[in-house]
Amino acid sequence: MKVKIAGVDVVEAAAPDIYDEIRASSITPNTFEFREYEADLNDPVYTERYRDPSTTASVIRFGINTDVIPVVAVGGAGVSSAVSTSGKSGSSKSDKSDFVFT
Amino acid sequence: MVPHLYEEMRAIDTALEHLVASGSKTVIVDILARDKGTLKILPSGKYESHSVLLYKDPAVSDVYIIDPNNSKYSWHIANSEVQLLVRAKGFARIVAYDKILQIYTPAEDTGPAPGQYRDCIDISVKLAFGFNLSSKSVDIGNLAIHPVVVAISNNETIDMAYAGNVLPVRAKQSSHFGAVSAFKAIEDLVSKKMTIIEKIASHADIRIGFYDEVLDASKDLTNTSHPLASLESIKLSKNSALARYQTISGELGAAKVEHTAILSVADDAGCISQFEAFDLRLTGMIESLFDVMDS
Repeated sequence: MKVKIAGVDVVEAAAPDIYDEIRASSITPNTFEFREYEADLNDPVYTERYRDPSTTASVIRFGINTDVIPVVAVGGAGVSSAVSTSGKSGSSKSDKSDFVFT
Repeated sequence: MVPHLYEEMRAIDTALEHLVASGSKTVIVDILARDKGTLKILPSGKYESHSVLLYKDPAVSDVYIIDPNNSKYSWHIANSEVQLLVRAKGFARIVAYDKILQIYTPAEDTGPAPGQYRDCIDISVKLAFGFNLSSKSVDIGNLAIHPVVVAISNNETIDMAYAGNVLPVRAKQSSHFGAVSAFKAIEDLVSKKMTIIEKIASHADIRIGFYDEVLDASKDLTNTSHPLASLESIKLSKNSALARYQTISGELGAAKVEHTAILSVADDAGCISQFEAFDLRLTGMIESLFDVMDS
């Protein structure tokens, strides 16, 4: 799924699962007044564009979707198969906590 | 290489590609958070990610990795296979600040509310805005004194005018870099004036001088060249000055409380006008203190 949006309100209407994801990442309109968001949630690497409303300056962030990173098996058995840690990525609101930023 | 590290490499590779294709100075990229070399896994089972800034000056062939929180969190990137990716894109190498530099430390939980600290993405974006607008190139060896870093940092060893990391003071990292610069300028002025007031107000000559002069005059009571009226005049004058000094001391205490109060809600450009009014009052206090010294 690919979306390109400008403003969180639009996201909420058009793609509720992505809005949840943004909200979970603690970025809200009072942090960034304007945002373009491009995401393919089936792709581990997604992009976000932040823009300073007082200028035309913008910056792009390339993120990692930690949801689709394979889990390392406990007990030294190596790396498990590339199974999502919370189900099918990008398909439902259950994905909203996939991104945890420090 | 295990697949999860491949995803980190892939994100960095994509970010480098963006630098080449766009000619931008900055791009933000997620890396996987580590603790003593091991990937950090949260209680939820998710890997923790961390956003850092890549900076490329057109006049320099290196790419700099700038960590918004602690330089050591991303040192490993400059000592990894990422160097191969960098060279493959035509850059010389990727370089990190080689000492510990903590640009921004959240003292409590992060979030978007006025009373919360900002997260790593937020600080990275604001650094990127600042660097993109700044005419001063980043010299990675002198990162700690770059004006953008100084203005945004909540580390009082980087921004000497900062009152200390006890409040979020989000105005320092506004989306409008113009507001960040204005806030920094007014904070520098306020800080300088507070220091002047404290120095003058604590000066021994002022605190004790009034009493000493009156005491010396009292010892000369037998001296006919000091008529009693003259002595009374000195005493009244010094008592008056002392009273004014004590009033200003009280005002200084109130000013410190007010300074903290303004900082506690400093989450947007609106606080600048509050600071300007506050700064005017400090100027008045300094003038009053000089009057006391002259009297």
